[in-house]
Amino acid sequence: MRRFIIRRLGTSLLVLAVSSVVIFLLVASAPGDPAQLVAERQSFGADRETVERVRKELGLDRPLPVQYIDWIGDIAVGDLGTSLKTQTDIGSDLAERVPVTARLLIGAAVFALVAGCGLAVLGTFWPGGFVDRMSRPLALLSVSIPSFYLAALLVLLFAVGLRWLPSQGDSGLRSSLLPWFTLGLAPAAVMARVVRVALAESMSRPYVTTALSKGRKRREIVIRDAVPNIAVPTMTAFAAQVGLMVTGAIVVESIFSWQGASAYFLEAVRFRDFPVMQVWLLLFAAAFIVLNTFVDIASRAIDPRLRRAMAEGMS
Amino acid sequence: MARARSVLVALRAVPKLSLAVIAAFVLVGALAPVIAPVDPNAQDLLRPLEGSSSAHLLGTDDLGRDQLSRLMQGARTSLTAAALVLGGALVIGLLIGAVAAMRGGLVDEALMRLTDVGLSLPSLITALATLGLLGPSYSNMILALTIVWWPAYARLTRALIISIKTRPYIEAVQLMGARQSWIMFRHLLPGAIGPVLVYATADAGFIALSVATLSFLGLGVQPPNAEWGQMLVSGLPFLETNPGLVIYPGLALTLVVVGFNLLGEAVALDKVPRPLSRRAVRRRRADALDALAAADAPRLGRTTAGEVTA
Repeated sequence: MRRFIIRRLGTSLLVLAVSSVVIFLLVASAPGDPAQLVAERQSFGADRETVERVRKELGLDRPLPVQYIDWIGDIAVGDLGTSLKTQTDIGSDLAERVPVTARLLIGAAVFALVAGCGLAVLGTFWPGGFVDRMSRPLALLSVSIPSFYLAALLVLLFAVGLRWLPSQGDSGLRSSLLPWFTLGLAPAAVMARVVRVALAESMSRPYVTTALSKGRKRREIVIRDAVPNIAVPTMTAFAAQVGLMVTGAIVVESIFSWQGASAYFLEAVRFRDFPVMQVWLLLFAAAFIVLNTFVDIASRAIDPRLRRAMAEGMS
Repeated sequence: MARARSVLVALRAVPKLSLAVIAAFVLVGALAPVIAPVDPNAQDLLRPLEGSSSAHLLGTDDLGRDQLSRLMQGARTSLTAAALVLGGALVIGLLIGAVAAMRGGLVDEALMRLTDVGLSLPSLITALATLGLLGPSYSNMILALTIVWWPAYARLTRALIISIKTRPYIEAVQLMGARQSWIMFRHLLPGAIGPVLVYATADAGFIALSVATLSFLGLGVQPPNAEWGQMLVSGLPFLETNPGLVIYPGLALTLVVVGFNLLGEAVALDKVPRPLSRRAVRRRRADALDALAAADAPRLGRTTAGEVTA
């Protein structure tokens, strides 16, 4: 197990290193000259001298490998650079904004997991019952409806119509409910389907028949035997949904006017703020890689069958 | 009993209904310039934000433009953009997949690792990053979404062609001395295209959704061109007074996406309405499922409604 962890961490570091080079090169090779952009913002119709001076200030006149080493070295010691648009420190901007996105994601993820697994378990208690039959149309509708439309309809109902909840902003629990629901609905429906299918498979195993023939209750078997058996596929599917939620957060933060890290990326894209885009993409890649690594290691920690398969594969 | 039967009948009607919905939108989009009551971009600043009237059936927006005409024009914009992206992704995907399958070895390995990267990244992030690098515009949006969507088709095509390549009739053609390119264009690609199109049906809805999302974020179709996502975002400030400006574009978009998803599911499960349903479709579907299983299905990444509801 320890050997597996070390090897898995090694691969992840390698993937992260490669991603950092790719992200840096992609942004560096983008059409349009950042020095020109900055110079234009400082003074309209900047002449060539000003542009060259700005280029020197930004260090863009050096060879690419030097620029890369400089960039990654600064990031390693915590200096994330300066935004072209606002001239502010990217690190302190993110320190302000990441907690906002984290709050959004955690709320939505908890909702998706609880609602999704809840629906799946209820469906397994009563196969073919109302909850079970509703889960397919619900999944279809919730992956089809654009999240910004869902958000608008929710605002129309709960903020404009009933006046129960604020229509936008980020101040406390009441203003979080609609964003959480908007972001969490599609993952919840997908999780409900995935878990339901896995549970059905689990319930068709011989040990379930044995347990039933011994007279144990169906519901008890679902909770005590079937659910623990599907922990790994559930976790893998959930991790994929969390990845999708990070991108969903871009739209949700935008429509509810939350000043989160996803909105920060959107602003950077709109203004072609290259340093911010570079850092954001790097951090996103890192988060993605950490998530996948964690899931891989945790799967083996949870499921002895995977560990055994691995040990056999190695010998 | 009677109720159970009516539910069954209704269920059987779903694929036909979804086909009808899509056909209706395609028709409206194609005929938009002819059937739209008013020029969709004609402003009438004296009559902004009006309700429904005989002159403007669905009222006007904040610039006094006719909402109904803009919705029709929006169908045209959205479906054209989706078709361009899907066409581009199909052509690139088919070519790359075919080359990877035919060449094998290092070329195959390199191309497939490239698709791995594409499939492992969330589609919206890739699209946004591309637009950030190139600058937001309509053509860059089409390009960005094509970049997002081709890897799935490359993988699928590669898997299909590899499975077809080993069949006896291909060996026979090879023994007869046919050139590689002849086999590719005459036998392998025609065999692969059916299942790929089946997969594309389910994808079309998500592509339309992405076009709208990017336009909603202000990075796709630019004003004054009418597009549903863009109409929705410009209607948001008037949500309280004129909710129709938000409700109708969103409804049109949702209907199209649901329609494509239902149709994609129906095609994959071979519940296609008469004109399309032949034995060929059934065979294609079997091919598609085989290939998907062979192509290491989870790596296809994107959660399609088909998988979700299967």
